[in-house]
Amino acid sequence: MSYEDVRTGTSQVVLAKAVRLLLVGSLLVGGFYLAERIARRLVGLPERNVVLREYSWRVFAIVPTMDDGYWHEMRIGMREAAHRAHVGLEFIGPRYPNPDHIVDRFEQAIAAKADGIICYAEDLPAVASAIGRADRAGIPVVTIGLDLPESGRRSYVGPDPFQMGYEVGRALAMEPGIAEVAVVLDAAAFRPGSSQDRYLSGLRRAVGSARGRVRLRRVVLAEAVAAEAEAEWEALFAGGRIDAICCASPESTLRVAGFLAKRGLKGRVALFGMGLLPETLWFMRQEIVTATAASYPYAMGSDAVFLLADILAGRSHPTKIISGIQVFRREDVDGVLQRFWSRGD
Amino acid sequence: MEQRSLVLSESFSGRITWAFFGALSIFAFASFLSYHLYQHLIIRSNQLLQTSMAWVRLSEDVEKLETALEKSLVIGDERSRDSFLALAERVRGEALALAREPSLHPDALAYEDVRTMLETMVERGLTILEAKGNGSATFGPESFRAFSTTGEYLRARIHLGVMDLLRREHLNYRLISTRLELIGKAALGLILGGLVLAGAVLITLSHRLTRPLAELAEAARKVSQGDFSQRVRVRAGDEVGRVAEAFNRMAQALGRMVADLQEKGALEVRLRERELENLIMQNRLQEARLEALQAQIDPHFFFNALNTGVHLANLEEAERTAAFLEKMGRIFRYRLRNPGRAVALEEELNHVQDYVALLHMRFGEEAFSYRTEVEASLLDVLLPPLTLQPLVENAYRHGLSDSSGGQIVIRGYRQKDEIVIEVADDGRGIPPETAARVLASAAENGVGGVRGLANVVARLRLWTGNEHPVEILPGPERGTIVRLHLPIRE
Repeated sequence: MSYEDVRTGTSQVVLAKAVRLLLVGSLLVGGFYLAERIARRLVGLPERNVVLREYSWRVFAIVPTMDDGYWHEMRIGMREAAHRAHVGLEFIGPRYPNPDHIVDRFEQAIAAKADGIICYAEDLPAVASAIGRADRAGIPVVTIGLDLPESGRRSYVGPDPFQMGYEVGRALAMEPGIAEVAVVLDAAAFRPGSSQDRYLSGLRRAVGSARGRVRLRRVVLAEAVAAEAEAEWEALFAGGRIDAICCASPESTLRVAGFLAKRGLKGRVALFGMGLLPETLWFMRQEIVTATAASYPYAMGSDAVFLLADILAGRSHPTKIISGIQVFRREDVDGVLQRFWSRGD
Repeated sequence: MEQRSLVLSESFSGRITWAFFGALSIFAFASFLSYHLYQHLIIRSNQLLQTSMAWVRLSEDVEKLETALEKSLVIGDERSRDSFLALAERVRGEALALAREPSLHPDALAYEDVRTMLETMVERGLTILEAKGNGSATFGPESFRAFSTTGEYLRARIHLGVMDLLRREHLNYRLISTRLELIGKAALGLILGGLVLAGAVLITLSHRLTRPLAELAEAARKVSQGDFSQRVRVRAGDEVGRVAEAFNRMAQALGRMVADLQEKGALEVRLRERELENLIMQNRLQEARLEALQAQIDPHFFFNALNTGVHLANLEEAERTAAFLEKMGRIFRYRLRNPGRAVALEEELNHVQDYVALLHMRFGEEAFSYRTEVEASLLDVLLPPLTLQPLVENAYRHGLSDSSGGQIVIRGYRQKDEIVIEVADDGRGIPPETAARVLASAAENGVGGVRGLANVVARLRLWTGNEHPVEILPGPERGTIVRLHLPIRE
């Protein structure tokens, strides 16, 4: 027993030693568990007591997975909505909006017995047929961007084609020096009552209200994705003076813009396109595409997921949700890009 | 009792223990962290391996399932059909096991896809087999293509799952490896920091331990040389602090004690010096008195005159006158000698004898009788001169002068460790209160009629060192006894 022990008394000494021993033990044990928690966090193992949100439905999103701002924005809108709506969302492609691949993804979703499908559709019979098969297999389909009301889809989220044509027509009418306008439609997608037909109707309505200053001279039906269409466009310019061209799909917008650039027609012909594909935005920067009409993809993606969740939950739901349409010009490009990439993926 | 901290210790052993434990804790924490990190990494690696292997097994089983169906369709016997069914059941079980993973697992959707696709594939295979068995028209290339397509989807999904897993784990591992690198550096830093801390604590503690001890040793050295003002600084309540505290108290007590002793010694010296000064002063006073007397009477002239008187008396045959003058001369000579020099008792008794003879000549021998009863061994005892004569004078003057026939006796004897000399008379005596007053007056250097006695008392005090060397007692029947107490000096 030390001098201090003698001085302070045996019972207090024993108590102090016990407290110190307890403290040392607690520190060691605490350090052990603290190190374990730090290691667990650093290595990324899930905490034992953390409860994550579970999904209620397994939904396949058949939308292009290519890495551009438009689809990126749409995927983020869908993903965030899926998280809030307890939807387990899987993006199964295809990478590019190829009709065959879209159909293949529908087959995959049916084989996987998905609870629902959100689909960026092409206005093609094969795609409409795949949508119908899915619906018959008990898988509700919500189309996005392009409506196929006869396909068996349960609902649609996107712009109204008539409204879009009308907005483009108004933009045409406001553009100075434009009298003769050619409209490029996709031969495979155009038929009476189709989306492109309705787009053309809207365009005519807007141009008609321009009191004869602007005339839709030529309407060309061409395969938007086929190189052979260029021959038809050659014929278009050979047939007389054309001041502006309107394209009824994002794909035809890109093809025509490429054609104009190749022919050195920049500044001579105004091009009014559709969609916000990155190439479209690039052509706008190059002043080849004058303007393009589109809806904001984030809202479309988000609305589509919530709409499908309502359908799966058996709640009442609209047969279509019409997105707002905006005609973007060159000066809007930076803002659009900034908005697209401002959200993380 | 001082309050003791339950956690921290003021003692050095406690501090060293805590310092050791602090360093140990750092090392222990770094070790724990490394241990857990590698444990978790191993667990994670095992999980990755197991999951990948499960995917691979499943992919192989899908191929086997396709082959089994094809074989069953081609061969068409029961055995191949049962083989397909058994395989289908096993694959379904594997898919179910996969799907049992919690839905919050990152691969939960993939597992569910695989499970449902496997179910579809098995259902389609069974449908084909049943159709073939029944000879139904639904059996055909389209059905088999749908079955095969499902298999392709399944493999594609498995492939995608594996790719996702590897991509995710690759990203995770990149992140983890970055973190591990950082942690490795942090752990190294922790260990180095612990070492530096331990070293710093050790150096600080040793410095704190040795510096006060060195100060203590230096202070002790100075105290041993007599500098009791030395103090050491008490820095803490540890062992050294307590030793320093005790040292300070000890030095303070020692200093106080030595100061007291010095003060007492100085006071005693001063007292002795003052006594000595008083004595010297008294002697000088006596000498001054004698010098004054000698200055008044030229001793040679006086003694020559007395001698002449003695001669004249002899010539005129006046024997009594001659004797008177002779005794007178001896008395004066005795009185004029150095008063500071002691005389033998015999010499003093002779002087008393001369003085008594003068009294007899003056007042007649019948006035009183005188005798001495002194032990012969005491005749050499030294005593101040003129000690007994004033007492004899007082005895006659105050005791016997009013009557005649009295007697004066001087006795001398040894009593225990002293010599007693008594001057006794049988005169009218002295009341005890008067005797006490007389002694008290004598103690105050004599007033009134006791100046001779006072002189005797004062000189005997100095001579003997005894505060009460003289007693005045009543005689056995009457009269007075003045008793002197002298020390025996070899």
